[in-house]
Amino acid sequence: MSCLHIKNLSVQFKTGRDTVFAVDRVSLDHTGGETLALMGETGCGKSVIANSIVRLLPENTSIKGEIFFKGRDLLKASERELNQIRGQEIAIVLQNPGLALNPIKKLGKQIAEPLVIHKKMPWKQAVSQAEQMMNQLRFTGLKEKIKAYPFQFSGGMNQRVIIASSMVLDPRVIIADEPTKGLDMEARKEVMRELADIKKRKGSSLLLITHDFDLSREIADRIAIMYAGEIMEIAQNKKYFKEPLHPYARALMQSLPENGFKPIPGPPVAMTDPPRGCKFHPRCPFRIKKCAGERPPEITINGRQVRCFLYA
Amino acid sequence: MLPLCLMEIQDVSKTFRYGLIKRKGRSVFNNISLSIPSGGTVGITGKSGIGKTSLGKIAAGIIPPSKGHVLYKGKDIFKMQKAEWNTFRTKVQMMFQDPEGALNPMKTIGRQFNAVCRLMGEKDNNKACKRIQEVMDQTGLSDEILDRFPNELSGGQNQRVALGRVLLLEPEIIILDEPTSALDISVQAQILQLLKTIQQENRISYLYISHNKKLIEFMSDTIFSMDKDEQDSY
Repeated sequence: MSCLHIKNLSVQFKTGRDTVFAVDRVSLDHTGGETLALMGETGCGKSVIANSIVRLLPENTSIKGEIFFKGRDLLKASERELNQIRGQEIAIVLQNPGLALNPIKKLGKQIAEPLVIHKKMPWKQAVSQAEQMMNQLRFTGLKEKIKAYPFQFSGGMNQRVIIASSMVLDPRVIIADEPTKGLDMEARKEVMRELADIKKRKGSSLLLITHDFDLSREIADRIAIMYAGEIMEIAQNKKYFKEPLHPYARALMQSLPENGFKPIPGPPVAMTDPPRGCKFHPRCPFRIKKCAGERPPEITINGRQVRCFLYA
Repeated sequence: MLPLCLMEIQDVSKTFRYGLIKRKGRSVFNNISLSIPSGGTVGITGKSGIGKTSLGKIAAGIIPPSKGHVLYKGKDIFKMQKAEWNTFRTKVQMMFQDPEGALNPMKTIGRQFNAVCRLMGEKDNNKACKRIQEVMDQTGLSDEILDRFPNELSGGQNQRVALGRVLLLEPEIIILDEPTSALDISVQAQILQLLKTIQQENRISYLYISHNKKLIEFMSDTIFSMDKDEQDSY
């Protein structure tokens, strides 16, 4: 059953001189209990989709389309309704743990804070529930960690604290924006284990925004590949990693260490002036005349969707 | 002709002191020795907080070691005369993880390149422009970025600018501290291939620091692991 339904979402930012076309007519279904990984290079609009869902976008944004959650269009919800949804029903784990945590508040209190705000729980009870949550997530040395400040821990540990604080209200959807960015191998493995564990225990849906292929391969059910504000391919995890179909999805796989770090030729698209037709066509080795003039349709092949004329 | 071994790190240890009244010490690493050959790449890997960046900074002469010596062309860098030290600081350059943080946010890219040329003693504007153009061609940058500020460029472009600025100094050794960890995989692949091409063209030695073992294996001729359980070069 669809838990989050995004239909024709377009997001633009007006800057002094230009307009940034961040997301272009994106449609996406996120079913209950599934982990959907949204992947693509920096600046392709992944985080903009996440922030559109919880409506955390700057004032210069122009947003069109629909985002349905529990039958309500989030883009038409009032600020009061959104405050109830944010954190309680849809939680977002932001990408920089150093900035997402309050540097002068103890970690235990930061995990407990959503309970105090949303459930009006007394602080003592909330901290004890936070302790239980940390226990479930197998934090070692719990007593010291509850009383510690963010600067006393590594990036990986702080990221685990943010995940714990987003889980404490049992949200139906968790949006994790680059949860492993800037972490070393060990910390990445810890965060990966944590997210896989949460998915198993709570049955929440996870929208994972990342360019970490190892993380997606490990925990995602489906992979959506984004390029220049558009979704180019959506496929089941195993099918995608076995055989990506879209030329961009294939090129991205070639950049991986195991494939010899082969770069995608040509510069990335300027989001202020995206090309007409298929946005990948200036860099695509398989382009045909049609690609420059027409936007390719979304084609369904064996349960996966690809936006490319090669499969039309 | 360049000597076979450009830099030698001999039994280097680093302890950071902290505390105002009761001074305490935290030992980061002990007795590390390695050598950087001319035109080759030495990779340093290990977990976060193990001291990879500190070792890189010691090799670049930015911080002193607590024990041991760093020899550049056979001379201890911390005992050099001023002229020798200036040459060393030009010829051994460091590139950092966060490219935007390494560039001046208040200056356009063109002004940042010009400042390096002036520091190199180049007074002729035409010659400086020619040299900047050469470096931009080499790093794959287009002219339009010269009038832009670092925050108007992507992470990959900023890292190319940081590399270009280093190349203007005609270095013999570049210490690369996680130069691609802030970049996504497709841009990472572009920067790694660029670094390899530049090394072949200019015969520069690299000391490449990364926690990513696959990346270190791809880039390095010899690898030094700082992890205590596998402290060995292989």
